[in-house]
Amino acid sequence: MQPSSNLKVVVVSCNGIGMLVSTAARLGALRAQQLRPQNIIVWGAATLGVDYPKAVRDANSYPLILIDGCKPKCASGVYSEKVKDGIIKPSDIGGKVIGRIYIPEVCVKYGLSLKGEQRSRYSEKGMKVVEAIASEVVKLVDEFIATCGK
Amino acid sequence: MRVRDAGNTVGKSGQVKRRTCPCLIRAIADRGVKVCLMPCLGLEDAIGTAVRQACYIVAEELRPKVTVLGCAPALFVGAEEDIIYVLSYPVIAIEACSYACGTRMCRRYGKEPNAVIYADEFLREFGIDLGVESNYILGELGQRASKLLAERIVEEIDRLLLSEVRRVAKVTSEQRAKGSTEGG
Repeated sequence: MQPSSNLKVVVVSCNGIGMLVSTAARLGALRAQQLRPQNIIVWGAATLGVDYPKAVRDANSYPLILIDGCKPKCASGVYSEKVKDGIIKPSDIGGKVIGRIYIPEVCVKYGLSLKGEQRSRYSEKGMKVVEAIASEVVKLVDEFIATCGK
Repeated sequence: MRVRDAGNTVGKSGQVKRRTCPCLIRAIADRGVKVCLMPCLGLEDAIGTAVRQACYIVAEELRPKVTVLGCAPALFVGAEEDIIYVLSYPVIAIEACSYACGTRMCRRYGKEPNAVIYADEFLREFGIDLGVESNYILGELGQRASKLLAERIVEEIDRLLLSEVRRVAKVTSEQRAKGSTEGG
């Protein structure tokens, strides 16, 4: 069931293009937003990286969930760089990370794989990974909202 | 000599779009010349999704052997492969808005893109507005936009490849001429 709260969380997702897993990251973040439209704002890691004003404003206004797709962990890397450069200033309200999702770990947890998928178009198999990522994001968001309500 | 028509098409404005002969593209690919696509990868609007899909069409179907995809987030964390792509090959930035993230990414590594395509302006010429499209999975209009964008990117790739091959040929012939002068 959807929480009625208007509390917001920013999901900063890998928005790469080269790796198969980046499609899962992008779709997983957007699917989570469909499930919690009142509570989730989605920005791509690179969009935050180039200091896109709305992305920077949101990242400083709300807590963050980072989605990393592959080993370089770009979403985490961009966040660390922005904190180091003083672009993101973590506070009690915004800019702090409340959860990190690493897609290979999600695949292991749910017994899923992207093997054989195409980056341009996922089949049902790939979409199961997308749904798993979205449910992990939603779980973190719901937990955060529940904690804030106490 | 009459040059064979390689299937040229007429654009919306009546302008003839020259299609490059596939044999020529194969020959260029054999020389290892490639072009790097640096697209806007924005998640918030359908146009970002259309740009991404257009790049996949180009890299997987239309020009697979001569295209590499530059990954903007990977560039942030210093992924060697992507840095090499940007610094070694001609780059086409494909932008969804005037903030021009692709161009900004190139500049981060001290490189100006060799060509910039503004997807929003380009699609406007065809009367396409993706404002109502989903950014999640593209509908019919978004898919049409991706195909049109892919064709536009291919035009730019072919132009850059030919200019790169000409540049390399010129350098090679100059070096050869210099060598023969020094040798003689």
